[in-house]
Amino acid sequence: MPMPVTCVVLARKATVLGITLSASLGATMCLLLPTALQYTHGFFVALFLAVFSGLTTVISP
Amino acid sequence: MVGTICPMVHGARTKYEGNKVLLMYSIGSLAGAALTGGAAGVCGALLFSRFGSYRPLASDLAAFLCILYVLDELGFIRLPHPQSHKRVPASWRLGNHQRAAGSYGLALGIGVGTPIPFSAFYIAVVWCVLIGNPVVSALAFLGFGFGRALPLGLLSRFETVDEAANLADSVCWKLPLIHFLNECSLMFSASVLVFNAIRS
Repeated sequence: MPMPVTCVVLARKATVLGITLSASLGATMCLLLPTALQYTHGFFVALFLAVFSGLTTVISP
Repeated sequence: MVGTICPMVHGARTKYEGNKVLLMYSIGSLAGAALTGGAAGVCGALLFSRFGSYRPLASDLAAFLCILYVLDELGFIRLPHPQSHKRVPASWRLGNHQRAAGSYGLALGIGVGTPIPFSAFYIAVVWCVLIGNPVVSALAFLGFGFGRALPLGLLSRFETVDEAANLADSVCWKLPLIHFLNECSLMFSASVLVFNAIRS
């Protein structure tokens, strides 16, 4: 059954909002942390992406 | 894998043996992930030992790749998703269950050569290359093995295999939400890469 137009519009808005917030979060993290911590937060971003991709690999059909 | 490991855990004669199957799967998964992360780190170390001055450019390219994959997830463009649709051999189950669980964990923990449903995997590998240190990259990519083992550990807590399978199926239907989370994590990663490159 096709999704109602309102739901599609709301989903699109939520996607745009989520993407904008994620980008802002990344930018804020980089601007607030000192450059000396670049290496450390590189590790944590890689770790986060690795955990996320591991979890999604299991729960995908 | 839920349909393979959970029945092995539930089918074990004692709870102790079931936990050993789960432990072997987790160890295999972590070892496989560490191998992939370490290999990516070696590639990065070799690359940046020769072309160290191009590191900011590599960060920019990785950020661009993240944004391209976000656009791909949103359906604006189509990018290749290199993966293999081969399944781990079911015949491994016929032998010793603990050894089989370890082998399944290792094969799937490596990640490369298995089905990869979301593009965050590629970006995680790119990050491990960018880190450029085999040990740190292996430690970071351990998260992939952990992420693969954790749901099975939780699903194995259920009394029956059917309960675990039903829960796994119900999560599978939340695909749009998982795609949304994938887009957000890729955008976060792109933003961190861009701002890192600007500041360095």
